Amino acid sequence: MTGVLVARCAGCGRLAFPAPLVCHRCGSDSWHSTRIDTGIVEEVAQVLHAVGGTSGAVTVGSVRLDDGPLVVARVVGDIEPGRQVRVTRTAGGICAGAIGEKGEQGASATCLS
Amino acid sequence: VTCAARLVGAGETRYARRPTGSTTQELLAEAGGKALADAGLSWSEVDGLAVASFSLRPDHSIDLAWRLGLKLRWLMEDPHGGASALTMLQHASAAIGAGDARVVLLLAGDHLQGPDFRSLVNEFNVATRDELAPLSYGGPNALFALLMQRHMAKFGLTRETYGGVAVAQRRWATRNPGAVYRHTLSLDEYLAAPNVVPPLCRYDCVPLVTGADAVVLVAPDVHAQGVPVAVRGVVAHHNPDHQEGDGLITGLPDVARELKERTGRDPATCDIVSVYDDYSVMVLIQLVDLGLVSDGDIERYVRVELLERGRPVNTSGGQLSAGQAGAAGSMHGLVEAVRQLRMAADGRQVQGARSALVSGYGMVLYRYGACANAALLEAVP
Repeated sequence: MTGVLVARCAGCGRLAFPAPLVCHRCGSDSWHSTRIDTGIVEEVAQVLHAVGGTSGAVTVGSVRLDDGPLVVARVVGDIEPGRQVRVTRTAGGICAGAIGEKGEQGASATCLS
Repeated sequence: VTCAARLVGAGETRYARRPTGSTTQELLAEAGGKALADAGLSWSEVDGLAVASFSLRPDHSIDLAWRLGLKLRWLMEDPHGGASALTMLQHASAAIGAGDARVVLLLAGDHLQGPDFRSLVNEFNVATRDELAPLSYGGPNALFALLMQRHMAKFGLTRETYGGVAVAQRRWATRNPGAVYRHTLSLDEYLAAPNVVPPLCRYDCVPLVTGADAVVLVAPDVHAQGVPVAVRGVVAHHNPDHQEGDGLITGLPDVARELKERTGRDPATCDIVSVYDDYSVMVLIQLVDLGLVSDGDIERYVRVELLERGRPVNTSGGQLSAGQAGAAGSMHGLVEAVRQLRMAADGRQVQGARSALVSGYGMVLYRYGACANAALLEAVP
């Protein structure tokens, strides 16, 4: 399944991620979840050296989900800031890949391995 | 104002890049003993204890009190990373004002090794464990690389400006025998340094060390040796934007405004400044938030105030040069400020230093730090 589940406040409709308990805008404590499939990459950073020496360079990015909050995602493929991406919830967290068949396959192959 | 609690001692263990065989508890005890010796007070006079450490478990503050032989009337433990020292100072000042304790020892320190760091960064909180660790994101460097990109774009800055912070702090460190990096750093060396997570290079990040820091806070009528340093105010503003902003503004503008209201003094006019420097970009953000960059021109402030005029900011060299000993990082700048105001900063002593501004920042909840606090200190004549 593609997309990422994001919390939607039952009181004011605000989207938030990760899911809060109480809405800071309206005070509601009731939340639904809504699926978002795409977003825009705002920045990317290639992790060359990880704390504690985990292996393998990964690229992470800030992705502003459509109508929603900023998430930190693993960015797969050659994606520059400003690009629209498809987001997917995987065992390796939220992945952002190029829109289009090739990019999505690339995302799955990298993130699920 | 005259009844403010006073800092009368400061201590720091040696910071070591490699494990020394000491436990966290032993490091905390060593730092505490040094701070008490500085104050001319003994362990038996301590009736309040506060501790911050990521590596104390399974012990807690009461276990430490037992091993330190302390009978206490007041006790706390604080988990708030880069904000923990000033959080403890805020609580301890109130406790002394309320009469709950008279001599409080504040301790912060860690003995962390590779696997400890991995588990600390991957299980920092639920959001990190569930959303960041699965990315193999490699720790907070990645998040601050994203933040630094936003900062560079928003203010039109180049790496030279961030390098200026590292170079200026290193100049102070050359006069601090306790710093792990003491050789002069040139801007060319900064620019040629290995990348960690671009645009972050090695000198934008702290060297991780083991060690501990301590200060002694007492009621105004407790007699101690040396220059007493009054705590004029400690103010905190945490979680100012619910992690929904860009991370380029902390809670410190509100802190600075409230400090000024409560003390009658503009914190930006203090003689000495210690800002929490986990990354060079966070030094710049905090200096702006605290009102030190009066014209908003960050590039000019670094070039003129820090590099040309040598304004006393992070005069130990900061964590960027001295090292970050886990939770002790939160207390490193406080220890340095107390040393400066007590005229005990040796070769890097700032002549005539009477007042100091110390800030704390930390606890990355998801995308950037949420905690911010600051203290205004003044030497008592």
